[in-house]
Amino acid sequence: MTGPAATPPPAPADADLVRAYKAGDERAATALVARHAAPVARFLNGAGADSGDLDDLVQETFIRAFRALDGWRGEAAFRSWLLSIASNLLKDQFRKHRGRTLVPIEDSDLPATDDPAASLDATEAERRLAEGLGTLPRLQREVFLLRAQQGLDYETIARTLDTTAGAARVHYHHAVKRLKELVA
Amino acid sequence: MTIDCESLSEKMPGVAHGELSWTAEEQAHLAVCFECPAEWRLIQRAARLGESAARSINPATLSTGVLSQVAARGRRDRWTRGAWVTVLAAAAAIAVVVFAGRGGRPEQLATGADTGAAAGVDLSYSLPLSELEALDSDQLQSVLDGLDVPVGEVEPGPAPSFGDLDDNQLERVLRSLEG
Repeated sequence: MTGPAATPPPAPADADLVRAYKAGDERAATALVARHAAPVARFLNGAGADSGDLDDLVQETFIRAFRALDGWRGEAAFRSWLLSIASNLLKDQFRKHRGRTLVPIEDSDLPATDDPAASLDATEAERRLAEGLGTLPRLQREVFLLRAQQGLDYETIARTLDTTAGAARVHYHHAVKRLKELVA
Repeated sequence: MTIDCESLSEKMPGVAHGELSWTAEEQAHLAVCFECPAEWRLIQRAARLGESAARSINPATLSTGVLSQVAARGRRDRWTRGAWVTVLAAAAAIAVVVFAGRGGRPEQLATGADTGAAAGVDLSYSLPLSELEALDSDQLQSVLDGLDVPVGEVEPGPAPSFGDLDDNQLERVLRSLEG
């Protein structure tokens, strides 16, 4: 006779991992990186970061975050706080290279599927989406990404990008309207 | 129940991320609406955007790099703070030595006293005497008459009596007494 299947313990919350890291547990930092690196990379990639710089930008986002953990107020989600750092990092980089156009997503960045025809369609559609994103003003682009790519609500987006929920909603709908014209 | 495009639009990111699902009515709306399907395709694509780029990130390598950089920058910050404290302390010590040395040199003190005296003399010459401005020419002349002999040239002797004064001088004394 077998007993009830043992359920795995719930993953520790971000706040617990942050507390553990501040107490000196580096495994907690590794867990935070493993949990949030991909969303941060996807956001930076969608927001126009050069794919050659992506590793460095993601790393710099986490370095800044870990060095400023005392500034993280637990009421904001750790991921949205990371995304706000990533957004500021990208803004700084864009200022440094003023005039440089946003880098469209490369073929290697696009998802591959088993169906070559579907893959080609998806590739083409995503290329148009990336190009469309590159034509949007920064705030519209980042609001759209935080809402559609990251699935955040307007309140969280407003805190992340230091704007209001109403403004975030307006930016989102403007972005959707323009991207539909470009992509659909 | 009527489905409006705006409420569907607001729900799309949640459905694309698997947090919400379409109702039968909403699915029926998506099948017939002219606008919503294009937006739904856009949101679905956006929800997957950058997945391949993210796959190139190795969390273990990234984590190692992050932790070593955090430690290195922490050491650099501590060194920079320490260097600043040392520089400021050295500057303060030099300032104390310089000012203490200046204050203790007798020739500097003497020069300072001389300068102060000279400044005092200058100041006495430049003091405004506004009461003189109200006097007419004759009155100013009588004041000058009283000042024409330098103090150093007056022979010391007995104090003058009223009998030694001329009419003008007596008149001035009387006016000064009457106020």
